[in-house]
Amino acid sequence: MTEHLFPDNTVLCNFAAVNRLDLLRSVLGGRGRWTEAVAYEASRSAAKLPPLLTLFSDAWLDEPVEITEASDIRKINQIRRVVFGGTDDAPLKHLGEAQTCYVIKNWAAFAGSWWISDDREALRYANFQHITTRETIDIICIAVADGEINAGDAFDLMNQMADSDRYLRLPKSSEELRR
Amino acid sequence: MEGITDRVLSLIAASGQNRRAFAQDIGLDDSKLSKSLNGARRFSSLDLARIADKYGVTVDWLVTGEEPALAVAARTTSGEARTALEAAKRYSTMREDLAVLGWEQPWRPLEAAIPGGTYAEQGKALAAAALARVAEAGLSLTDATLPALVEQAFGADVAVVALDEGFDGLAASSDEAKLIVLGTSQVPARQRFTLAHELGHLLAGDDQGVHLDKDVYDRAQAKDPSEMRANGFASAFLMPEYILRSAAGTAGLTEDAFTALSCDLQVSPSALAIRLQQLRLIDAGTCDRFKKITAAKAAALADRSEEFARHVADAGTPRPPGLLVRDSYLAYESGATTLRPYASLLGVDVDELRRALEAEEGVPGVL
Repeated sequence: MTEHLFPDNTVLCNFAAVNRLDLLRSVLGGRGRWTEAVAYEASRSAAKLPPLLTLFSDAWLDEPVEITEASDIRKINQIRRVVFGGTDDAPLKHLGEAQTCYVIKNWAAFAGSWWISDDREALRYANFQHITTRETIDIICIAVADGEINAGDAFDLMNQMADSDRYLRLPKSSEELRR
Repeated sequence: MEGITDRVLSLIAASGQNRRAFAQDIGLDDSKLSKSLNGARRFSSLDLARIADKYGVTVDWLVTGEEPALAVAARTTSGEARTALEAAKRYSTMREDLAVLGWEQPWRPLEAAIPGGTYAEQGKALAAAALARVAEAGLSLTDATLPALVEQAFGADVAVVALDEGFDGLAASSDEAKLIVLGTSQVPARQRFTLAHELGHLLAGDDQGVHLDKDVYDRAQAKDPSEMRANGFASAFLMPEYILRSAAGTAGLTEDAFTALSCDLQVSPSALAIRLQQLRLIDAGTCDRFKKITAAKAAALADRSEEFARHVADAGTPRPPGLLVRDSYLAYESGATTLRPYASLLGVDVDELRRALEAEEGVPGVL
């Protein structure tokens, strides 16, 4: 079974902020997927980060995964509230996280998929749920290992992300990216 | 039975818009909306969240057509009561969701059935059973703060929310959640009475849903049977007969003993005087004299003004529901949730809270 890779909107924004979504695309290697709520969040973020619009035109994350079963919809809404702290008054808040966790945990087609996020809370929760997680720094390490970018440039790139008001775990040196 | 499509159609009709405008509002193209309304496509999780967001309904309502009593009450009420109801709705939903993860409301109703007699007598009987529970739990009305005592002995959550004057409290009851919400107050004895009154409603099983008490001292409301029972409960619970008889002894109550007793029990002198007269422990003349003493004056006479000042400050301070705070933290600790619901209950930033929880080093030089 192919394991899919689900970057959340924070990760998409990190790469869009430095206009290097191509690097993320290369690492995901055709296995990237997103849910409809993550796609919606990306469309909203595109107002400030226009490179995100290419995700829709190039479609390398495939068609957004739609959830249409009533029982799934209710469970996702409940997870959104009780796990991620959402409320009924703001039904879109944390929907992307809840949908992603839910389909990875409950849909056979996505069993074993990775969740890529830089949100500490989401990562901690996913680890407790035995969902494999990766952060932007891990994606960059893979890109370095694959020869897509050298470690020095990758180090600079991550610092550019941080300088663009993106919150992510940073390496202390370029050496750390050669894992 | 109506389905999701019917409810979406009802929202379109209520909005006064055509389908095209509605589709634009929720970010669907016309053909997708048409297919969804014709049954050729199902509404998705995102569609429903966008509809809920735009039109002020909940995803659960769109899916099931059901709306919890608290949500209905919050939607249809205005003023201070609405603020209290919004808080109650939020806390109750949180408990209902936590219950699914295994953290159920530890509600402990009284085993004994409500006896016969007048409603006031029923309230007193309930109070006797409730006081036995308090004693059994090793608690005392004069030691513990009342919200913590109610949570520990009965397993109902107690929250205090910041409200202007004009709303005393409410009791919310569902199969999964038992909750009392009080307004902040500058009158601690009134807040304490309200809490006991709402506990009376919960223990008597008066309402499935929500019971609002805008003014617990309202005379017209006090004629309602369930209010009479809740008032009888509150009076007998906060001013237990055995304590009053013990204080009165055989010689009766001096003014000094009376003011000390009102401070011990944290009740208003007027309420205490009336209760003492009802128990025939003081006569009508003494009752009238004692009733004229204010709570502040009683504290001064008993040389307990510092304690009184603290009670006034406490009554004006918001308090998140204690059992929900405990359980949302345990859920986080076990990895069943993120830290966000707990941080939200405390009203603090989640990143700051996480940093505080993860800080390993103390202040240099401090053990």
